[in-house]
Amino acid sequence: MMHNTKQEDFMKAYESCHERFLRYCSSLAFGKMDVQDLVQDILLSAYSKFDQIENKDELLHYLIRAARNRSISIWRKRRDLVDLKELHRQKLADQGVSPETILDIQLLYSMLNKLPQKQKEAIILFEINGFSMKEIAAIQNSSEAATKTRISRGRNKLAELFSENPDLNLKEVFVSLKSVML
Amino acid sequence: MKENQLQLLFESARSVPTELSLEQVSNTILSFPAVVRKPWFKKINLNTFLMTTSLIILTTAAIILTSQNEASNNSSEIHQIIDIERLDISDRKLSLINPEVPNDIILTSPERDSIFLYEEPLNSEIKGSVLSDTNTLNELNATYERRHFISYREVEEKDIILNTNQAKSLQKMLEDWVEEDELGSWRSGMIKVQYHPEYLVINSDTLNGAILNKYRNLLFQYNITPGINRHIFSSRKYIMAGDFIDGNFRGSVLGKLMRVKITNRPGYIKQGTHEKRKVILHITDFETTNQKFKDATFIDTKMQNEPEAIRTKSDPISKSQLKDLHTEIVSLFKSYGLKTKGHFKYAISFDQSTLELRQRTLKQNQKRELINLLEDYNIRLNDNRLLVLNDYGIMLVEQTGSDTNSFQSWIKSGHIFNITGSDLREIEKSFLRHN
Repeated sequence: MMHNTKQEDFMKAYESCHERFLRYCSSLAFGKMDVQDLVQDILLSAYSKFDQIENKDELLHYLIRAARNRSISIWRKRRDLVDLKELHRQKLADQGVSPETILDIQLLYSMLNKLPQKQKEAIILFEINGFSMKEIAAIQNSSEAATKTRISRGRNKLAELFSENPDLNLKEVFVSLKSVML
Repeated sequence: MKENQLQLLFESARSVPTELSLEQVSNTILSFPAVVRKPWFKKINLNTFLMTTSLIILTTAAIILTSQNEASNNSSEIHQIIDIERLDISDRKLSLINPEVPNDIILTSPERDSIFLYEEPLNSEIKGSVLSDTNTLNELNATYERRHFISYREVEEKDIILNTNQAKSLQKMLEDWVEEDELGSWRSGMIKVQYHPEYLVINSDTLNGAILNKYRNLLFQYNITPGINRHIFSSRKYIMAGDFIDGNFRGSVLGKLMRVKITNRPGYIKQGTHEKRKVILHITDFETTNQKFKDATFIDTKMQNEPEAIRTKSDPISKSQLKDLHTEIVSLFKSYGLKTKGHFKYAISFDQSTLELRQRTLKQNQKRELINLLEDYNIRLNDNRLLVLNDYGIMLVEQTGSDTNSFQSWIKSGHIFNITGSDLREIEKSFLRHN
């Protein structure tokens, strides 16, 4: 069957992307949207256009770009409606993640959301998903040097944010502890 | 925050398991609907289809309407002609009941695709049938004038419209070609072309064969199609190309305007002689003006005077005509090298069969040209006349029986012919003696 073959091909191409793609989606979606919805939307889109992707090795790049665009789109529509931080914290706790780690993650994503979009994206891809500079440059359609500079500036900005908002940190820690303990 | 603390945070994020396992994602993918490739027709967007179709319809309609508008612009003036023609041919009764035809109907010949009659000339049968209809109507004293009915052919013709550049170009081309093909000397004054559907005459030479096609192609390049009343007159000062109909000229003129006399006799552009009483069909008198018509001016100049009857033998030629004849003969003789200062004194005699210049021998083509010129002034070979001229004047003499009549003379002021004699020969001698 044609479509069965297509599913198999898609799965084969996807397997190598799964880890980094999911981690990226989790980074984008934390506290904002349901990761499963985001992943499902993107996979469906990628699957329907799989025939048009000439180089199947570039599926990961396609998924990353699609995830970025899709997350922005969803966030614009739902920002005033839902706060999913609690949900995500709960899910992480269900997966056996320690409360300290959950707290760290929550703090990190809170600060990342304050960075410019491209800086945030570059840092997530480099620091959390483990992409190389070259891959990030390809995804962001920029040069490696620019990507390197972007990541460096993002790191510095992130450090500043952590230093400038100790209250936020305490508040976030308190909320996180409360949710984890309860 | 220090760099290593930040790295610890990143490490925490990296260590967290993904929210969805590979197995869950696989199940998700397997749960996708069996996406079947769309058939080709489903890829066609209805909106695109509608827009494309609409565009094609609008474009086609625009093209059709544009062409119709062009046609209607030209044909709006001729609806009456067409209607009248229909009435003429198929419903005579109706045409007689309503005989009011606008006077200018003949002047508004339409511009439309012409039938190239030189390719398939109207045969005599068709022509005959048209004319027989005409005659029948005339016999019934229909109010229409005959010319309205013979315009059947005219509506098939395109009006000649030349702009300044075209007129100049045609003038130059005719000058070069006519000289090259020895169809008459440019210096003789004027190139006369009669472009009838069934023949093409240039300076009294009826063309045929390759040379005919050559000139047809030339005229075709200027959108000049054949016509019953179609003539081109060209000299260094002017060019007139158009239709000469009942004293009206319709066509394009560039340069100094002139007086033209034409008949509808094939092969000649002159006064007709083959009918007992016949109007001089086409006279357009512009001789006093030096007006240049700007770019493709379409003129429709009516004759200022009533058509005059061609003179019978007893009618004297007018002084003004004799003056014109003098000018033209002088010009012609200059082109032959016969005009030298102080020695211009010639007598031209002609009887029923020939013309003779006493003092010099003319070549055959020169003689023919002179005959044509004289015939333009209704001076025919069989008139047994003598024409004497010098620098100062011209005199036409005719001998009838034993009498010798001086028809008319035109003399420049201060110079008087003093010629006497009982016969032409004596008059000629007397003239030649006179200085």
